[in-house]
Amino acid sequence: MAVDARQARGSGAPHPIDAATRVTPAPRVRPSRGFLSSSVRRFAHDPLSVVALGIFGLIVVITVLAPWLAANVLHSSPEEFTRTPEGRIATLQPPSQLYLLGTDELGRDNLTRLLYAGQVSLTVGFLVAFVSIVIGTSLGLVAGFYGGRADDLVNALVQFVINIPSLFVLIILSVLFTPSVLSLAVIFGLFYWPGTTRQVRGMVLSVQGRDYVDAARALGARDLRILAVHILPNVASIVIVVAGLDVASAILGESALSFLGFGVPVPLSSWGNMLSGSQDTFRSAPWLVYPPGAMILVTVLCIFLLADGLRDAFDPRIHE
Amino acid sequence: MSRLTVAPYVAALVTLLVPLVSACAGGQPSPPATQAPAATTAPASPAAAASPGAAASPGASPAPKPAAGAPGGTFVISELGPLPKILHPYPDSSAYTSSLSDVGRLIWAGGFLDQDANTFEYIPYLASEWSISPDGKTFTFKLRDGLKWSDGQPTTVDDFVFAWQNASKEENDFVGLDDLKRIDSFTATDSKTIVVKLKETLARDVAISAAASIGPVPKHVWQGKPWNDPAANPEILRPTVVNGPYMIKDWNAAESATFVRNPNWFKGQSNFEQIIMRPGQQPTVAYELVKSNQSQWARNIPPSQYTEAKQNPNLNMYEWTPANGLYRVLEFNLQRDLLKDKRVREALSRAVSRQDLIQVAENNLGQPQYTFLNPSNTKWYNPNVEKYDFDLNKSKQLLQDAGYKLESGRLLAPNGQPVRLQVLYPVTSNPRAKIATYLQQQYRQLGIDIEVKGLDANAYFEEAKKKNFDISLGSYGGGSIDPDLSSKSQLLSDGTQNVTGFQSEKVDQLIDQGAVELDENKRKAIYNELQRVVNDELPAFNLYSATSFTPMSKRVLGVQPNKLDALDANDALTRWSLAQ
Amino acid sequence: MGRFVVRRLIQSALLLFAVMTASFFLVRAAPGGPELALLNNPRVTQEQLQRQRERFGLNDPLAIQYLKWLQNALVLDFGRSYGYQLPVVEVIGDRLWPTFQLGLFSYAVGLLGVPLGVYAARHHARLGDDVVRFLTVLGSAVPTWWLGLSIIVLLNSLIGWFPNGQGTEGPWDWFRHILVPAVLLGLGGLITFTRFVRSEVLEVLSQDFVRTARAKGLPDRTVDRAHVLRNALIPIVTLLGYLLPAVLSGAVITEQIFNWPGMGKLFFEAASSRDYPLLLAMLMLGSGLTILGMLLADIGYGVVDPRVRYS
Repeated sequence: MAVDARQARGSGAPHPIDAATRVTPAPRVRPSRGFLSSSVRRFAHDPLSVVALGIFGLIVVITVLAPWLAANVLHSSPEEFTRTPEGRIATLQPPSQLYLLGTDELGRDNLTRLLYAGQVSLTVGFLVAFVSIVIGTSLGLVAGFYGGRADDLVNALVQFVINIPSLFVLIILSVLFTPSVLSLAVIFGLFYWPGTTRQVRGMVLSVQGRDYVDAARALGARDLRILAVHILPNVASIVIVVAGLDVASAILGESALSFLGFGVPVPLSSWGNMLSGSQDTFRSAPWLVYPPGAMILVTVLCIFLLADGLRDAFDPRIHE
Repeated sequence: MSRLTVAPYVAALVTLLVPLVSACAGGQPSPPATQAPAATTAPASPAAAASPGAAASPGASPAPKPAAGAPGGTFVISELGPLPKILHPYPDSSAYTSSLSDVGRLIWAGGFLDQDANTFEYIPYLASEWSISPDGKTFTFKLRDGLKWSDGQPTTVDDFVFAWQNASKEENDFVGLDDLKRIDSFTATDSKTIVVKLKETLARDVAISAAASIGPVPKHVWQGKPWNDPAANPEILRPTVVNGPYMIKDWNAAESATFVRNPNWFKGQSNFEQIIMRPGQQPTVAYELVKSNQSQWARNIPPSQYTEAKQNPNLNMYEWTPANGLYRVLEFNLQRDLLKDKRVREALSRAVSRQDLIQVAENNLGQPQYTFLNPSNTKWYNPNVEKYDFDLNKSKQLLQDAGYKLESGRLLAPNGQPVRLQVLYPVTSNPRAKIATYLQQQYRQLGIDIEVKGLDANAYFEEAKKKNFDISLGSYGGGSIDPDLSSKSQLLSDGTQNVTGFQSEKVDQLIDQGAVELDENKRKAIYNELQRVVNDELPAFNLYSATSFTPMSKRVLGVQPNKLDALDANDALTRWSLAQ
Repeated sequence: MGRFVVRRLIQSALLLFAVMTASFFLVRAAPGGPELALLNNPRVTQEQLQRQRERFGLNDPLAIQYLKWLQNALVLDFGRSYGYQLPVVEVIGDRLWPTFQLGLFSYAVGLLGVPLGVYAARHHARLGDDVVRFLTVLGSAVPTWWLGLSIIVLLNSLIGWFPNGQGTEGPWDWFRHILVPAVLLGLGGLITFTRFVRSEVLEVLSQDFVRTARAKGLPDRTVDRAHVLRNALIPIVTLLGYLLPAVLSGAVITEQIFNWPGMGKLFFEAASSRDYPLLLAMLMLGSGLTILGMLLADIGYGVVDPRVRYS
């Protein structure tokens, strides 16, 4: 619906890097040999991208290790209500040696929750991107490559999904299914695939129009070969970039959904619902507000920088 | 990018630091309310209460004079909820919102009587005298002299009869029709007297509530206009002729409502010249408004903001435990096999520590509640009931007695299936989300797997009504302190608020008896028995009642909490004033 | 071109119909109903609940209700809001002007991205571009609602005031009340425009004909005007189409935080209270505008970019 609601659901509206029906920038397409190695080289020479990759990798590693860290380093669990020596629940304790990032309103250790929440947020992000890519790429390929009726059909489907009121789907589905991380991600991803489809379709159309593809066809190459050798590598590069943006967008969108009441269901915690759950204690317990906010910021920042870097790496023209 | 530049990193650093700076600018983070005082009971206010009885005074209120404030000024109230959409004095069911009474209190004067918010006695209001026949069925009200509408026209018995004739019509679907159906006849016997006859003998407070429920509607303005069609009758949306302390000046349903003093109010002139209501605020924002003095009263703020608000040097925090305060309940779905066994219900109840919940969900602003009545409701509350205090070992024992076995951390039913329960609550309620989380943790100690299901408020009501849950987290309160006029809806077999599916002939009987018992002592005994019986059955486990608290600017003088949940009951707002 | 427009119009109408039908059933499939708000009141009886449903025609079979609604919608009669009891058109109409103001203002904020993007592209691989790139990335990495609340808290700490609702006392008051929510709402658009224009201009700048123009000795400014901007216009035209519904549809989160009486807030309230007539009318408006916006974008695109052919 609205521009800021874009963060609440992915839509067919343009991603921050590309236009709707036309792909900009349209990389000069090349056959796949040499492409990958030259891209990697370009990427490695961009310090910002490398640093972003490093930080993001670190975040992923720490999040994956969350259970181990909680048990062996922090000696706490994300759900346990810690108690004071007098036996009361230790709610809203400020950061101390015992609780590195303080405790929340239920007396749970904030740092442990933050780590586990990272697992949820990243899982949601990756799952959403996965769903979006799988559906979006296949439909985009079909639409672009075969054109005609198939194209019209896919376009109609895209238009249709864009216009469905997402808020409602979320309300209904949250009743029909018990919302779990998996179901939320899948449903969320269903709002993101139109964007991917349009990107892929645009790319395929652009590749198809190139002379050397016509030449290949004239020489007798079959559809499959053209797809595999010429189209897929170029599509892959744009898909990787789009995937990255979907991950970032999904993490942000989940936070917006939590604000409205529909994100990852309590008591499971994600960075998004930790952040939205902390709005009442904005001033009285800032240790609940800034850590999840910072994690979202840093993660999303890294992903965007990565996506930028990847796109620049795949596109040699920029560096001429 | 081909080279490293420093500037963007500086930019990023600055941007990340800005929020930290703002936190420091806002003062040190306040310590949590772990040592918040136990809920204070409202002070008994002697002089403030108008003396009950048939005083024929012209309505000067004997309240304490405001300290040093002068009349005048604008009073701004910020609220979480929306403004009512319709301002009909007799709204139909679709127009019902809880904020209707907040606004209604300002523009509509009410009826013959008013209930004192401290003594709970009924005092004359628009009536100067009133009496009840010995059989309790006939009420005679004598209208006060000099009552006027805001346009200067006199308020007469005709206005009352006009209101009655329309409000009692079935097709007008008045939300309080239940009360009106108890009235047999409503007639003006002369130009100053109205006689109300009830269909049957009812308990005194119940009878008064029914008989005195009619307030006047300006016949000279409403006559000839459709009663319920706002498009054809603009009075419904923006009443131009009212009889309360204030009149409407401006109404923007989404944003704000402005009221000005009604010079023709029968009690004289209210202090504030103008009142502005700013509805629909985000909880953080509602508090920030009163903090920045853009509003003088944040009618409700979440418990987690209590600590900071209390420490704010520019605000007064009023706290009190009203007799009709909000309370929370664990409602068991009695249709589920698992929950049909009382031992299981008792086990689930005893595994919950009320103190823990009050701390976690209400930031320590509450007190344990053991029956469906608030402990502050001293008139009706029965403390001699089974309280089901926290005792985890007893829980485990009870489950064992009922045939459940704990095997490697999971509780198994007699048929071998692991026990799983679904807890339902509305996502719009933060405290209930915390209660649900607490339950999940706590019941894990019994080996029970809990699935927490949060739904949007409307869907929550639907699923609760359809009994698609195991445990529902209910929230009740507000309204009347009389058990017949509030709680019975949860207990009657066909009550609309009977979420548990509770059915007991004995309970239905007691409720029916309580509604008609004239002897106050016998009535108290009936409701004592009712509370005892219901607690023995344990269809629902009452958790706690929340302390009412509200921050107000220190410039507002003359505020004193009463025993009900509305700080501005009994026209109290008209006696507040702004310090100069 | 004319045949294309007609064909797209028909497609758009069909699409609108499909979306509205799906929306109707989706909305009704959500559990709950308008009468359930009454359950907050302990004095309400079962009969009253039922009577509500009867009044609103909710006990008819769903297909019948759909047909009735469709029949009325086709003659632009959207019925009465359950809560406001006024014609839906009136209720929405009251919110149109504030929504329009906010949308237009935020749109203007977004358009600032055009000069920003051009600036960034011209300073590519230098400080200017880096700063802009980083700031846009930073801006899109923060949740809007959090930014909004932070701004309110910050403003309150610094100056003891923050915007809440509309400003009614003169032009300065109006401006200071609309500025922050509009900027917040327009931030996404600003970032999008900046990045699009930047990449578009970059691509054009690197193309052969620009190099030729420069080689011919044409000054940068002429090159810009003649070639770069015209090509950069293409995504802007497309984006304009997408942002049209945003101007009128309202922004749920921003309006909630700043208490702006727009349609986003109305939509959320209508959804929460299951005010079906109001909800469906707003959905229709939103979908209609989106479809219209995309249609205009596609047409405009064909006008601006001569390379595109329409079959």
